[in-house]
Amino acid sequence: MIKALRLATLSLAFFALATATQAQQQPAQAPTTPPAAQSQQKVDETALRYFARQGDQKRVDAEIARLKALYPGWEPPANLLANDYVPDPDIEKIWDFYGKGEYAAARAAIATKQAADPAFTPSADLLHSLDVGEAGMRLRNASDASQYETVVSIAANTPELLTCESVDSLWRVAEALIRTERTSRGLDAYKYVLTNCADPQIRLATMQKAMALLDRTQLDTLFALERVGTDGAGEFASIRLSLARNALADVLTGKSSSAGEEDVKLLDSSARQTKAPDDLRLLGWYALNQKRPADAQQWFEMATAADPGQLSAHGLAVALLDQKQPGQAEAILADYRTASPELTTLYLTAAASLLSQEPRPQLEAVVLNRVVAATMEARNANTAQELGWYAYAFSQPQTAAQWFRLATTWDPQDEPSAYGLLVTSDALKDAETVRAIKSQWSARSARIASFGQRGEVAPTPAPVAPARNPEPAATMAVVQPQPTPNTGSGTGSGSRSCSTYVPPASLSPAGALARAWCLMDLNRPSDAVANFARALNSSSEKTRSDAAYGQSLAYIRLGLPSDAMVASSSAPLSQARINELQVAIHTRAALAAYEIGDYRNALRALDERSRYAPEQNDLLVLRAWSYYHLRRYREADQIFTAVAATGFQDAIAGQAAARDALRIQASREP
Amino acid sequence: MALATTILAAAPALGAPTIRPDEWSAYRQNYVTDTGRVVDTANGNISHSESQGYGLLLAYLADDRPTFEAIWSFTRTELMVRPDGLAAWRWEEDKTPHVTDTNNASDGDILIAYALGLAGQAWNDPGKLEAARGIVAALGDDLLVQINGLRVTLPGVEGFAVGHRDDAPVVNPSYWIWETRPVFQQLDPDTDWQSVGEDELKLLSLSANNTAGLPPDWVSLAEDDPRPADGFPPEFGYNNIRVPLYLMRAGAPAEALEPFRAMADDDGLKRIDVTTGEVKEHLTEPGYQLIGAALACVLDGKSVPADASRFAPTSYYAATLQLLALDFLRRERAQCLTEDSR
Repeated sequence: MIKALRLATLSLAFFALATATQAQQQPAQAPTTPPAAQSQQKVDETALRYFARQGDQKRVDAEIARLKALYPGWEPPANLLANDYVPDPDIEKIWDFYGKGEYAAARAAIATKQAADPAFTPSADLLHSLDVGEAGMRLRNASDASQYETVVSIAANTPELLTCESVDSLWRVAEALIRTERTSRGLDAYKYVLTNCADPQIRLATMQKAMALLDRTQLDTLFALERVGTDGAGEFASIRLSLARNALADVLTGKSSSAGEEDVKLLDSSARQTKAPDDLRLLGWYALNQKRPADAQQWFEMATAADPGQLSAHGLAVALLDQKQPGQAEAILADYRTASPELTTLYLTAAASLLSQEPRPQLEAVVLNRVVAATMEARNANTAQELGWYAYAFSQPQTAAQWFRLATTWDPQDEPSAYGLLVTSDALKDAETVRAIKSQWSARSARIASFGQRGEVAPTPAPVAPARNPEPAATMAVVQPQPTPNTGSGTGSGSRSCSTYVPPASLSPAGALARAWCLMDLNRPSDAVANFARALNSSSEKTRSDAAYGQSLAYIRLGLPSDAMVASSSAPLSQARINELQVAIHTRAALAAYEIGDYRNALRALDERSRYAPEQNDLLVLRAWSYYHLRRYREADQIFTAVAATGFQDAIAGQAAARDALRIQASREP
Repeated sequence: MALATTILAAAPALGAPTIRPDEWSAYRQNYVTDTGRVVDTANGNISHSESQGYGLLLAYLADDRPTFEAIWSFTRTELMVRPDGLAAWRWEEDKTPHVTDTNNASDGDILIAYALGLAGQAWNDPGKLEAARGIVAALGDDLLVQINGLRVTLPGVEGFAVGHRDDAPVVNPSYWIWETRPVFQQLDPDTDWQSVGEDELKLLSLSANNTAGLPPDWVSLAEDDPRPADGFPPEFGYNNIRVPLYLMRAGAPAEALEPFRAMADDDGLKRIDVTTGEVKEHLTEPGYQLIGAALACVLDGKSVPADASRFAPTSYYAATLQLLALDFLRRERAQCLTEDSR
């Protein structure tokens, strides 16, 4: 049986409050004598016997508890169904209304009976019960209408409401106190429940209510009241787990930088035991966030075992990319590359890093075909560009030129693609295209402007006229890797003057500089780095400056923006070059951070970059997706919308995704 | 001063009920639920503090205490959730929370307090008198403003006072229910409610200084001369058609009623653009007709046609005004009614 408990200490506190803040404004209720004070009065057992005859044991229990609280020392009759008791059906009817919470009908029935029988006086118990019932209803309505001062004032005037039986009132009072900045008093209300109420569901629900309103430190004082079951498990284990999940999720949404060790451990051991895919993935994303991609990979592999599908594949692929294993990432994402816009983007990112690996991998036809198909489908300039370099590396300058040309069609602002087209066109002796690109880009790209000014121009592998316009996908699709390594000699780019290895130390600084630029043109940035390093030893400031600039560019090409940053400071540079490098470095850093799912750093890099150059549409979209992944959907939506308005296709899918997320978020909010 | 004395005499004391059982039963069946909710049938079946207040007043006038108790229980538990002791004005069955606007409307509060005051006295119920006192004191504290030396009641706590809108203060003359002032004076002697009533009557007259000669429903008092408030149609409309009824019930002198001849004709009442005098709509429900007929009888001694005095529940608002008009005629002007309408 649930025991009704008067909230002695709490109610005293409420009374103090009532006199302090409410008494002047709130019209006092009609003075009612508390029935407890009238110990001589006969206890009205009508309701009790009525509920007993209805067979409603729950109400019988509640009524016994209520009467015991009102009349200390009163004991319920041994036989509630005894015939010696003759009830008045009118009064029973009133109690019935009361029992159903139909207080207006109960009030009307009392008045009706009084009109019919002027001698009738309702018992003090009945009137008091109705007052309390109505006060409870008013408290609930005030709470629903966010009138928290009223909630507190009703509770102060009606301490009978604050019992384990009507725990909803206690929760509402706790909330009202917390929302009116009387947090410690609200905490007291929760403590009261956990100290006095035995029902396990009520206790658990109390913690859930508290969780939504209090911080961790405040909740800890409630956890101190946790009861341990016979199995040794704490009754609030599930709450602790929820809090642990929240702590990790807060890190991922940028609300905090790391979770407590306890939380991580708790979720770790629970997830290993339950294999709950959501928990496994949460731990995976958290490990990624904390720069532990190998751990992340393990979590996502466990998640995949428990729940194969795009969610697990997504995380696993990011973990693999983070560990520079784009081949595995590409394979895992292959089946999901059209599942969502973000998986398409991730797949293309994996494909691009796979293609750009050094040394170039020889990809199987099936892999290459699906990369090509995905690139064509998404009209993705970046992957097209990488396909271009890939073809170029395997001595297929014509195919390379077609890819670069396609990339520049899809994204006319993409400098790397324009540069690729320049290099291949030059190799193909397509002077007209070289001229066209130089005139179009020289103002914006130092390397395009200076292309061909150092070293000799390499002979072309074959006298082939380049395609004016991109061919349809079918003819573009095949990039046949040749078994010949790109450092070989005799054909293609290999026949350039810098294509055979010469130790940089054996060259003069000026010679190393020329050679480094030549290697850059061959897209061999790692060899170029060493030659630029040699050039940095020059006594000529001009050479050193050029070398620092070149080395920085080479590092950027290698995807090492922080090294690029160091290199750029190894010699004085002109402001124009500094700007150009900064833009390139931060662009690279943003892309790299985004690729591994480090969206906060992607945003940081974009912010840095924006100090040197305005963001074009492709980076704006990257920025928007970063917001999206950080669940900052509103900001994501704003940017997607702005970019989509310029007709930039990539933004439209993002806009739809952000709006869906906003809708879902809105529907989950209470 | 003369007016104040007249008003003082006007509070309806409960003798024989002036609303007949058949009329009241029809009203209850159409507009009052078992839970004590009074439903505005012409307004999406919502309830508001005004409908609850009218319900209480009519239940008192019909001497139906059980229904009064039910309506008061609903009003107290569902609407009186504001910390200042006034009622939230809007309640909707199909919304969560049911209270969809926690602002108050002072006509609702005034009607509730008035009915509680009358019933508390008639039925010797100190609880109701205490509740009435609380509401009247809150009205005095939060709603009274002084404009050019005149003290009047604002329509609500939020949205009408200076600082809340550019053309503030904004008032609604139909929220000034003159017959309540003597009762309020007794309940709350700290405020001079009698003189508030007189000031409101003066301002009513000032705000009718326009082409139509009638006060607009919503009046801006931002400048010396009252004018129609911004954002509301500049009309004498559904709100203010109650004003002459309230004046008659309060025993106001003929010269105060005179301007309202313009709002009534044989078809019923008129909604009028106060800036042009143009008639925008004829309101022909029996409840509205009876106001016009009562006015004609009080001013010119014309008998009230039997059709207008027969109670016919149409919309909540017209039916409510019709019962209030019948109550007035039977108490004060029985000679206006035919034998079987009295």
